[in-house]
Amino acid sequence: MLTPQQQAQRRKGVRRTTLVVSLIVLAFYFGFIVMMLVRGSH
Amino acid sequence: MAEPHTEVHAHAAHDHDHKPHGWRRWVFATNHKDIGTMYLIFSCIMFFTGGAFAMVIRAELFKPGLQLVDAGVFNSLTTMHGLVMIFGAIMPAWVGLANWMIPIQIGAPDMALPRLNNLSFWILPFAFVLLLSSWLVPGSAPAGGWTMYPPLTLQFGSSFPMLIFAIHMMGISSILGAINVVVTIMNLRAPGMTLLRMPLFVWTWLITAYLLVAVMPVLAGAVTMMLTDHFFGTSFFNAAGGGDPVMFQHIFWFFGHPEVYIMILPAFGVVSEVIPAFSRKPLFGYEAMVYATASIAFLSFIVWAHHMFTVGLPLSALLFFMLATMLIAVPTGVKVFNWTATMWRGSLSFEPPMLFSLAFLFLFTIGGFSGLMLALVPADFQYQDTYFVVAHFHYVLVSGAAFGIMSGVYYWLPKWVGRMYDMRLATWHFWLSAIFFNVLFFPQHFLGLAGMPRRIPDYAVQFADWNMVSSIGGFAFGLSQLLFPYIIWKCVRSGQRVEGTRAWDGARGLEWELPSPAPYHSWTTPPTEAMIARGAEH
Repeated sequence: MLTPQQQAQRRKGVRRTTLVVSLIVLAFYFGFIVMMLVRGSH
Repeated sequence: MAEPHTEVHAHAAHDHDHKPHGWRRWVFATNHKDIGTMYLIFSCIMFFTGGAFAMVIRAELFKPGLQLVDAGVFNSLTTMHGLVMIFGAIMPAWVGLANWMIPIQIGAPDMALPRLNNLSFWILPFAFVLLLSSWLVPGSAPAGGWTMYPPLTLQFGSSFPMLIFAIHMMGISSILGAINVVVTIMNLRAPGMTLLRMPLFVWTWLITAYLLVAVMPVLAGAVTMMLTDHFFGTSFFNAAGGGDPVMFQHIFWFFGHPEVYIMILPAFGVVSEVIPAFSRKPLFGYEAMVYATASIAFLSFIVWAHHMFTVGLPLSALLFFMLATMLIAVPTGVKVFNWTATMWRGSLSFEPPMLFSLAFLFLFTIGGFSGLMLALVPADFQYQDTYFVVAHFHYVLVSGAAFGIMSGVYYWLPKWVGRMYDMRLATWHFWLSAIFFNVLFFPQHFLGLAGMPRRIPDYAVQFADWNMVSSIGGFAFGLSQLLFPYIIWKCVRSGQRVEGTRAWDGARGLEWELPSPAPYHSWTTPPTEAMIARGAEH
């Protein structure tokens, strides 16, 4: 079995990775739309 | 064949407890095996739905002239066939296999985000009900091709918002699935399961998940912009308002080319598991395989414009994208040579998973060669929008992705259900698939080289003979696929029980340390170092 410390570490890792990957998703989604807006304004 | 193992972990016996029953088990499923099963069943239904569209397409093309459907319906059929097969059949099948296999291959008790997992599955049926019901609205289903190029796609009637919303939902489902895979692999590996001890299937899925995270939002962004062009008066892709329709193609293929690898990389993983198992040898060049997969994924981001050589790109761009595309042959070649080297002097046997993996190896390589031909700019100017392209991508996606899925299912099915399938029928399934796949698609190379355009319901009489051959191959291939669900159903109902933990004597990896069938809750106690080391003998 995992120790309580290992389990806490896992939970923290899951939260952190989920947050980082979700931010990447949002960056790509809005990034491309913003890129098109900037391109269209020239 | 079966080799009893003495180190079946101790908690197996009580792991069958706490299994929910009835409809709640499936609607509120959070168990990775249940969700994996639902993905695989959904994918199978979509495979036959998309296959039915293909049968009508091939029936219409059986001889010149219009026989069964008008040109508009034909265009809807090709569009829906592409969308259903890519987003409904191939991708969910891989997510299903990922759900089933990743936790038990890395020694994790489940996926890291089980409720998100439930949501990402249950979005899919609604997305496809919406997409498929577009056949019923005025103007019928989308008919602008699965690539959804404006301005054509912007001109649809009621089916347009249905298409856009369905694509958004499929995208959200894929993104949530990918986030779950990344988070699971990065955080839930058993102690001792280092990155370079992970099975190749897990590695290829990790890289695939990163691809999904990077490119699905781009597709979502592109279709959102199309939606605002259609309903809110923007002009992202509307030339009359100062927009640029070709920009849509750039954005679409920035998603679309990695998407090809999203469908293929997990197949590389399956083949990298199956070939060593049936060669009774460790995989040749494990680390090279990992780096080759990562290289292919990286290169897939810088080759998108090879899908649009004829739109009028500058010469420097043509040269760059041609050379970058040809560069992909290097890591792909590393893989093909490593699989071949794995078999070299191995103790080979040819059970159905191995047969499908070998067919993958030969036929995907043919698709790779025709891909190299298409990468040559001057040649592509001739091949563009001909049946040569259709032949090429079906060699990549059917004998590549679909055969990879079948190989994986035939390899792991005994572990999932604890029973062995009818080997004779599965071998028949393989030979009928392999033969009629080639009868179906190989003549399309000739048709394309002779100048037959794609996406047309009628054609000149000089193309009649090979179209008839291709259609006969198509009907036989389609019929032979009915064997697949029958073999699985028969296995689940009455297959011979698998003794011990290993269904195949050459199989390695943590999944083969679990009893068969794999318990409902597995690896609640992490695997021992000895188990991990045994599985990681690369």
